[in-house]
Amino acid sequence: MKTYLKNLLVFISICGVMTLLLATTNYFTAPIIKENERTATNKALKEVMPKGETFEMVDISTFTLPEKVTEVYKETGGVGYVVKLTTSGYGSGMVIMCGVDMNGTVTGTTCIASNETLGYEKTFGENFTNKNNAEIDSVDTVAGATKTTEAYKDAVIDAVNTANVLAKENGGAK
Amino acid sequence: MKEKSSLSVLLNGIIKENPVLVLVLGTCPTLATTKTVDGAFGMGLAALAVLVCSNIFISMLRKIIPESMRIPCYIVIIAGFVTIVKMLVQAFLPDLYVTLGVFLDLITVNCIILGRAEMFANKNTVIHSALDGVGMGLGFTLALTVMAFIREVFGAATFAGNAIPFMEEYKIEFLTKAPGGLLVFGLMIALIYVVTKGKAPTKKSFSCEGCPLASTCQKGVCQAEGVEN
Repeated sequence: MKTYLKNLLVFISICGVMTLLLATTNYFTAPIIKENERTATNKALKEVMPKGETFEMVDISTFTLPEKVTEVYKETGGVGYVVKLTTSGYGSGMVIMCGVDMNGTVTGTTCIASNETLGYEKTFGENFTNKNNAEIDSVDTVAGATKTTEAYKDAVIDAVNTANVLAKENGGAK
Repeated sequence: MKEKSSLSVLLNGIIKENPVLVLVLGTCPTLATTKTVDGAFGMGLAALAVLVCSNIFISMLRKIIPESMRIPCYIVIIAGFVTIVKMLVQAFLPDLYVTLGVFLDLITVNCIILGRAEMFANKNTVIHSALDGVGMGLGFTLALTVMAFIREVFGAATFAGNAIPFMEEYKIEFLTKAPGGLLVFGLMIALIYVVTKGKAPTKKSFSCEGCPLASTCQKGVCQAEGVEN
């Protein structure tokens, strides 16, 4: 009994020390990481909608949208919407940003974070540029990375549907 | 056991006991992160940081950590340092963070880290353990960087993402794929064997003492099966 308690005490103490080290590191790095994420999002907005100039975040709480949709940005000049989605491929936490114009055509997509192992999510988005919902269906997934690329494709379809819903609500072309 | 000098502990991991090319540990990140030189170099440095910190910490606590609890304790320490390194990379080197992706987290289960904790840090002083961490980490980084150089330059005609125009026509794309990675890996192991004239330790020359399973296996079984002690 005494040995068990001693073992437990040592283990808990090690966990305590590591927690303290993690908390300290997190205290200093969390604000920088948040700023980096904001910068990455702003960069991705321009990347997926090259014609866009300024973007504003849309309040999506009143809309019924796919669960994967986490944020939506509207291009203030009326070029279209940029939809940010978090989906799961082979691993979880694949964050995709997809630009869709007012006609429901994809202007660009990019993956800003992922836990995939093969790296196809970094280039697969190029296949969807200038395609609408019907054409997206014909994009082939990649053998050997089926889960990643299927999840990517589904996310783009959800992004186009989301943009269409928002465009309709705001009197857009679709 | 003969006491090793600090310099030999440091240099051991670079060629003679290179963790990737001689001990054949950490094969998964070796094959996965050697598509680009910058990714491989970053992975090597991240693993080096974790290796040094975990070796120091485990060596400091080697007399306190109970024998029966050592693996859970090592895992907590290693996972903690991996998370710290991950947060630092995410904050200060965001591009590298995106390049390494999930492989940064997977350092936790990298055989080199746990292997050195079990084979070296829990038996040696803090200084020697730190030097072992630096040597093994440098050996890992060197092996990964050289392998990535071959795969990226000859396979993709780029260096650290920058195109090499005169190589474009001669690139061998096979090298950037998984089988190409295995081929380069095998050739590098053969090269190290030639360079060291076969003096680098082979699996059979490891003693029972150095085996990670030494404390749990039935002593004497290895000798009975003809493995040198």
